[in-house]
Parts: sequence; C-alpha cells; structure tokens
Amino acid sequence: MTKNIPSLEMKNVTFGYRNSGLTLAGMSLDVGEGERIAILGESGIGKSSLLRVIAGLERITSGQIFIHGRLVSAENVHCSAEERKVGMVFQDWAVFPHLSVFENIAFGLRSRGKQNEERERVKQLLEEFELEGLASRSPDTLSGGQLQRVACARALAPRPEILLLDEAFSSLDVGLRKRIREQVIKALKIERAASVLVTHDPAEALEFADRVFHMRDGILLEAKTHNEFRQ
Amino acid sequence: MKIFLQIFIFALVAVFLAPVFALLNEGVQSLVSEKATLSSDLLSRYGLTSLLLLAGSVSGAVLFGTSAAYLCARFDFRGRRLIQWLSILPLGVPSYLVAYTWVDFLVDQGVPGGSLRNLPNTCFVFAVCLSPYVFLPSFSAFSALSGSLLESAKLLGKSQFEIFRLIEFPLARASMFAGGILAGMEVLADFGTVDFMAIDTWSTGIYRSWFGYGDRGRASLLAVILFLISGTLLFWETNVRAKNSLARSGRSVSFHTRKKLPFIKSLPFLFVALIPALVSCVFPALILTQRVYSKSDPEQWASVVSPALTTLGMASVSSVIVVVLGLAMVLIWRSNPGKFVRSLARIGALGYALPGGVLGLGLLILLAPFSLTGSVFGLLLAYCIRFATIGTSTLEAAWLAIPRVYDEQARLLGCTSWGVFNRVTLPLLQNSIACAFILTCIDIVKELPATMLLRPFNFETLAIRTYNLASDERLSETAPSSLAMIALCMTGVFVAEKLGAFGVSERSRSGK
Repeated sequence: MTKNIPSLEMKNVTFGYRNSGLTLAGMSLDVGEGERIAILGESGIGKSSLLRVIAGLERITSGQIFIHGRLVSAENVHCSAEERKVGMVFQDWAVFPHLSVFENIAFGLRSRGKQNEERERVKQLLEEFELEGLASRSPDTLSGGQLQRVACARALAPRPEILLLDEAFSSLDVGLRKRIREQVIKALKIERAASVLVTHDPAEALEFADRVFHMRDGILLEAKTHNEFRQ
Repeated sequence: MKIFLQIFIFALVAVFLAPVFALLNEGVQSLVSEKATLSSDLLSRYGLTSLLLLAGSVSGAVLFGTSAAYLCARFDFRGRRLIQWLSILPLGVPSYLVAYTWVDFLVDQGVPGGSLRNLPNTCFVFAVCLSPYVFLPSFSAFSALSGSLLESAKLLGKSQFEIFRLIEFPLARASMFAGGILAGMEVLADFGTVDFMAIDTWSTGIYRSWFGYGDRGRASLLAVILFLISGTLLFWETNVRAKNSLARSGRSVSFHTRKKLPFIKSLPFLFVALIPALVSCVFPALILTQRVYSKSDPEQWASVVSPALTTLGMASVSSVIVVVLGLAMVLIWRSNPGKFVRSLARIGALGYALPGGVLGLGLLILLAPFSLTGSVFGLLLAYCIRFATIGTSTLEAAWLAIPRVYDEQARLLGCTSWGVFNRVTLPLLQNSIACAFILTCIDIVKELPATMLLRPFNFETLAIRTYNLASDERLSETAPSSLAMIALCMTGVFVAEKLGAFGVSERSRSGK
C-alpha cells in the first residue's frame, strides 16, 4: 500500500447546510491507494454529507480536499462531480430505470469517452458481479440484490480513483449483504481503488475496512484497537 | 447564466401578461373619457347569473366526480375499471357540443327548444362535462388514504359512514375543493355553451358589448373583472393544493385494500357514477353517429376534411411550442434559479386563468397596431399563452418525481449538465412529454372563443364550424364536425390515459 500520495486527503474541512450548524467541523482524513475505510456513526450525524462533499456534490466552507494530490475543493475552488473520477453507490442504488443492465454499467464509460473498451469492460464486470445473463434486462425486473450489484458494477466501470459507498448494503438481508460486500472488496482489490464506506453497522464496518472511524461532533476519531472499536 | 434565465423568464411573463395590460389600459381609458360605464344593474345581472351558474355547475360536478371517485377508490366491484375509465371520458368532449346534441335530439322528440334553454339545464351540462376535474384529484386523495388509518378507526368502533364523515371526507376535502375550483374556472371561461343556452354571464356580456354594441371599453372592463375572478380562483386552487400536499408529505401512505361490494349494492353508486359519461359522451356519440348515417350524404364528410386538417395542424404546432416551453422551464428549474425567477414563472402560469374570450380580446387590442389580428400568428400566440400551463405543470410534476439522485449519479459518472438532461432527464420525461402534447392538443381542439376572435378570414376549425352551424340553428348539420371532434379528443384521452397522464390506471397507480 503506497502512502506517499494518498488517494484522498482532507485537511480541516468544514461544511454545513444553510440554517443549520456545522456538519463537518474541521475534519481531516487520509486514505491511501487501495485502502478501504469505514465510517460509523449515528443517523443524521452527517456521514452521507461527508461522502457528498468528497464526491463534489456539495461545496465546502473551508479547508482543502485533494484527490491523488490534486486540489479539488477549497474555499474558492470547486472541481465539479463529473471531473473528480469518484464513483458512488447510493443507499437506494439509483439504477437508471430507462436503461438496461448493460447500458447502466456502460453509462460512465460513454460519458468519459471510453466507448472502445465498453463491451469488454462491461462483460468483465458482469462476470465479477455474477450478472451474466441479465445484461439486456430492465431494472424493474431485477431483485434488490441484483440491483445492488448493478449499482456497484456501474460505479466501478469507469475505474474511479475512489469509490464511495453510502449505506450501500444496508437494505439487503444478511447473507446477500455479505456476498455482495465480498464481491465489491474483490473488485476494489483488482482496481486498486480506495474506498470509503459509510454505515451504522459495526460488524459490516469491521469486515469491510482496513481502518474504521467513528464520526462524532463533525470530526472523525479512528478506532485503533478492537477495544476502542467496541467503545 | 442566471441573468440570461431571468431575462428569458421576464420576457415570457411580459408576453403572457401583455393582453391583460392591453385590456386594462383600454378599459381605464374608456372610463376616464367616460365612453364606457359599468352600471350596477348590468354588473348585478351578469354577476348574479354567473354566480348561480357557477354554484349549480360546481355542486353537480362535485357530486358526480366525488361519488365516482369514492366508489372506485374504496370498493371493489364488477366493472370498477370500466367506471374509472368512463369517469375521465368527459374530458374529451366540449360542453357546448353536448348542449347542441341534446337540444337537437330532444327538439326532434317534440320537446320545445325554448324550455330546454335554461339555467338548471346549463348547470347540468357543465356538471357532467366538468366532473373529471373533481374525479381525478378526489380519486387520487381517496386512493392515497392509509389503510391502517381506516382500520384503526374501525377498531375504535366507527361505522362506515362515520369513517367517511370523520376521516375520509376531511382528508380528501381539499382535493375535491381544488377540483371544484378548476371546474368553476372552466364554467366562467365558457362561451359556446352559455351563448347557445341563452344564459347571460360575464363571457356573453363581453361579446355582446364588443360585437353587439361596439363598446370596446365596457367589454375590456368586463374582461378584466372576469380575469381577476379567474385569477383569484386559480390562486386559491394553488394554495389549497399546496397546503394539501404539505399535510400529506408528513405521513407515510400505504395503499389500502379495496372493500368488496356486491353488485346489487353497487348499483345506486354505479348509476350516479355513470351519468357523466353517458350524458356527455356515450349518448351524444350514438346520437351523432345515427345522424350521420341516416343522412348518408358523402358530401357531409368532405366539408369536414379541411377544418379537421386545420384543427390538427394548429393543435400540433401549438402543442409542440407548449411542450418546448415546458422543457425550457424544466431546464430552468434544474439550474436552481432562485426565488425571483420562480415567482416570475408562477405569474406566467396565470395564462391558464385567462378565459379564451378575455385573452382573445386582449390580443385583438394588442396586435391591432401590427395588423396581426386575424392571423395564424395571433392564434398560435393565444393558444400558447392559454395552454402553456398544461405543458409546464405536466412536465414540472414529472420532473419533480424523478429522484435527484439520478442526476447526481449521472454527474458522478462523468455527465455534464447537458449530458444529464439529454441522457437521464429527457428519456425519463418521454411519457410526460407525450402526455403534455396530447392534453394541450385536446384543449386546443375544444377551444372556441379565442379562435373565434382571432382566426384569419375563411379559417375554419372543427370547433368554429360546429359553432357557426349551431348559431344558425342548423344543428343536425353539426353531426360530422362534432363527431370528428369527439373522435379526435377521445383518441387523445385514450392514449394519454394509457401513458398514465391521469393516474387512474392500475399500472400508473402502482408507480410503473
């Protein structure tokens, strides 16, 4: 794991929604290449806002965010979401209902002008996520688990530098959740992409991540030992 | 970009409101120069008749619309889907056409024509024709009531009637009311029916003042008053709907299961629910078909071809413009334009509050200096101003139903703003675009007063042809053009319903 140039670096980032207090209050975080981290915290504490800030869907108030050493967010700098090479899997997956499974997975490749490798890349991801045979299916004919895998494959297709997972496994049953989580970890290892998982399930955080953080009062506290984690 | 949007919206609103200002200017000038006066006698005559007509028509529409909506939303019985479908059919038939057909038919049966043309009969015609305006929001409200809410009331010992009185009615009241207000606006805007039924309303007063007495000032003043009443009703309706949606948003809604209703018990309800469709569509269509076939004159169809083509052409071109305007509005909403632009756009939506006649007069005054009265341009402008709200509200509602997360996901996958619109928003709006187009077309096919005032010389639409023949008391000759109008509008209603425009089909209710 190379830590020289972190995949993601946040320095004293503050962010808050209008008419409410600071959601992120001087937050700092480093995520190395291929590293997986998990963030735990109560509902409504701002975990999803953190991911939205990293993704470029929200502007920060102060501080700096670097992706692979490139400044993408600061007080007067905002690199838009489409320029960041960050993938995200939302809690409700957001699989485009008007596109087939194949078209959903190929969506980001076409946006980024990678049409020539489209067929091969989609085929590879269909295999990795056990979606062969579903390529031409419409999303409304898929089960929750299948939709979840489509969403993960789609986010990984353009080879993002960072993958953000917002409670991405929480609405699945335990067995399926474990299987899909393993598929995602395997794919992340192949791509050597860093990832940030936001969850409220400690067991999931522990199984997924190399490092686990607690979010409290707008900052992150790293749980270094199992005891700390339990606390 | 923001300034460009503000200028665009501002220009649009200026064009939409220009006819009102033209009328206001004309009316005020006439008052100042004492050319026009509005006597209290005149005002009370038009006002009282309009009020009585409004009260009778809206009460009837609420009775028919709510009965059908409650029956279809809360009970399961043989023929329920047919009733749901039949209840929206009157949307495809203009009320003046229903009046012509029934009067012609009953006079043929020996009923004196004079005894048919009165206020109660006119109220009945409006009630059946406008019942879908109440049926659609009421059906939606009754269907959305939480099943657990109703079951809780039952467990607390309430009877079916008490549940209706204490829970169902209060929770659906706002929707019924909003539907009633829209029906009322249509009553006030109508000219063809009241003119034929010899009822003195604001609408007929405007025409009589302008064309009968050549009193432009008085006509303008009456038109401004009518616009203010309609505008107030629209504002009221928007507020009622907004409050209702706020009241709903805080509650999780589970679709209740319908209660089985034995066929015999459903008969009285069925009877009430079927009246609007039978009176406004089924019987008129049968009567008109019988008229056409009994005449067996091939020439009668030839005379309808040109007006039909004109109608289709005007409706298509105007609807395309309306849909493009609607899409432009969606683009503007997506860019999060701020309160000022939103308020301006809301003012622009007042076009719907402009009755066709009022709009027609306003444009006549406005376009006269440019020699554009009696031009296709003037007519297109009138249709766009009058019906732009259909396009914008249909597309805006559909756009609001698209989860924002799709936009965000597309951006994260590398799409620019245009890419998101082109690859996500536009394909997801496809059905709604088709619906907006069809609904606008239907309204334009039915539109009469603005077309009458602004059409070029020798320019005949189906509505104009039908009206002209009816005005000459050649009612039996209206059959081919009336039938063509019904066929066009019914096809539109059918396709729009299939696309989920009204939200009454099982498919659209299940959210697919």
